Formats: sequence, structure tokens, C-alpha cells
Amino acid sequence: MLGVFEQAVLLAVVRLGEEAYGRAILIEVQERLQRDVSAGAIQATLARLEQKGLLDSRLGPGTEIRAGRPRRFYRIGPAGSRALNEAHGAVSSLWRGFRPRKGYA
Amino acid sequence: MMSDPPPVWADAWLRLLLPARDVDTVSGDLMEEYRENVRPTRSRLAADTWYVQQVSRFAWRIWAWGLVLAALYVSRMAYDWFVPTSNFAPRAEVTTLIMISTLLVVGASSTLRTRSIRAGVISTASALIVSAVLSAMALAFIYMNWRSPAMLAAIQGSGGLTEAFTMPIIMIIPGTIVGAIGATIAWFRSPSKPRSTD
Repeated sequence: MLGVFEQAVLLAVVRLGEEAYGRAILIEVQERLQRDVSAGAIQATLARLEQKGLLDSRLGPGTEIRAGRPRRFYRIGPAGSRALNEAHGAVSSLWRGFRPRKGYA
Repeated sequence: MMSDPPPVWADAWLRLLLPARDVDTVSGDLMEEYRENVRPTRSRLAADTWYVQQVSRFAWRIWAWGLVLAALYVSRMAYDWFVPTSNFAPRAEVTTLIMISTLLVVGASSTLRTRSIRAGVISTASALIVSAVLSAMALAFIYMNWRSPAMLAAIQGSGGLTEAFTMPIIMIIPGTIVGAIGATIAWFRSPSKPRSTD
């Protein structure tokens, strides 16, 4: 089962599509979670998700602002999509039939 | 301003700590964020502080190992100061064995994670430096708060105050060598083929 942070990172990869590389993922996750997130936490999570086979990565060219250092672009794999769907299903089933009241939502 | 580079030493430290495959990509991500978002909106000092903080978070394991090493050393010192003995050999043997084992693990674990012997050596040295600072602070705290004639006698009997404070600094070089041994063993015994020998 994916943790909340792992879900946030995977969703960021899906949302960013072809532009899903480390820094873009960091910014997307920070905006969605509305809190400061360290680049180290994103990097560790990406590495873990890739090791689990949920993400694939490829190298892209560097740019001047990065001193020519390459970007690593991520793409969700079939196992990652399944894991996200399962996580969504689990959360949805938790909330099913529950009517949000003031103070909850 | 866009071309302002982040602190060279912090960038170099980050590159030493990262797994070989991520050295350029991750340091490039941080440099891009620094140049495009952070530096244009902050003073040089604030932007550099942000960068160093980001690098420090990559190195959280070093802080953790530094804390473990400091705890080991301070525990031993406190034991000698509060429970004096005339025969230090058994205590010294146990402490030395635990310390060597810990340093081997520090070097090995970093090498297994990064697949780089160099990272194992740098991590061990960094953890020992952190440990020296933390140990000095902890020993000063103990000394200032529990100083008594009995404790002063125990301190003298166990090598003196100067030795207690300088030992963690003296240990940095031999400790790093032990970490390097752990790193080398881990590199050769790594189940997955290491990517880098540096």
C-alpha cells in the first residue's frame, strides 16, 4: 500500500507527463501538499518507487541554468498505475457513505 | 544573478554524498531551483543558506550516525566520570570494539546505498566531525552541571579533561580509516554489481 507522500509523488509524475523531472516534481508536490518539501525527500521517494518497479526513468539533456547537468525524467509504469488505483480505491472506500460535516471538510 | 552558482563547497559535498547515477541529475535539479527561483528572490546569504539546508537534508544519515557515535563516546566518558575505576582496560576494550563496529557499519552502509567507496569514506569522516562537536557540547554540559570533587578526581584518573574533549577530534583520522575499510569490504561484497569505484 502506498503512503500519502508516495501517492503525492506518483500523482505529480502523472500530472506532469513528459515534463516530470526532479525539480518539477518537487514544485508540484509542494503546491499540492501546501508545505515545504525537501529535494532529498523527493529524491529518496523517487528512488524507492523506481526500485519497486512503479516508475521508469530516462535521462534528458542538460540546460545552461543547470550547468549542463542532465535531467532525469520519470514515467509511471503499469504497476505504478495499479498501485495508484488501489490507493484511490482504498481511500474512497474509507469515505464511502460518510457525509462530510462542518469541521471535517 | 541567474548565473550565480550555489556555494561550491556545498555542491561538491552533495555530489560526494549522492549515488553515482544521481550525481548530475539531482545536483542539477538543486542548481536549477537555486538559480531560477531561490536566488532571484533572496539575498545571497539567504539563498546560500537555503542551498546548504537542502544539502544537509540529503545528509540526514550523517547527522544520525554522528549522534550515535557521540552517544557512544559520551556514555563511556560519563560512566568513567560517575563510576570511577582503576582498571580501564575492560571498558576500553568494549568501547573500542563497539566504536570500530559502528564505524565499519557507517562506511559500509553508505557505500551499499550509494555504490561508491568515496561516499562511504566521506560519510564516515563527516559523521565523526559531527560526533566531535556533539560530544564536546554534551561533555561540557555534564561537566558544568554535575561537577564535584569526586567527579574531578575521576576525570583526572581517567586521563584528564583535555583528553576527554580532544579524543573525538583525534579519532577523526583513524576512525575515517576504519570507515574506509568498511566501505571497501561493502563494495567488494555488494550483492548487486557496484556502478562506481570512486
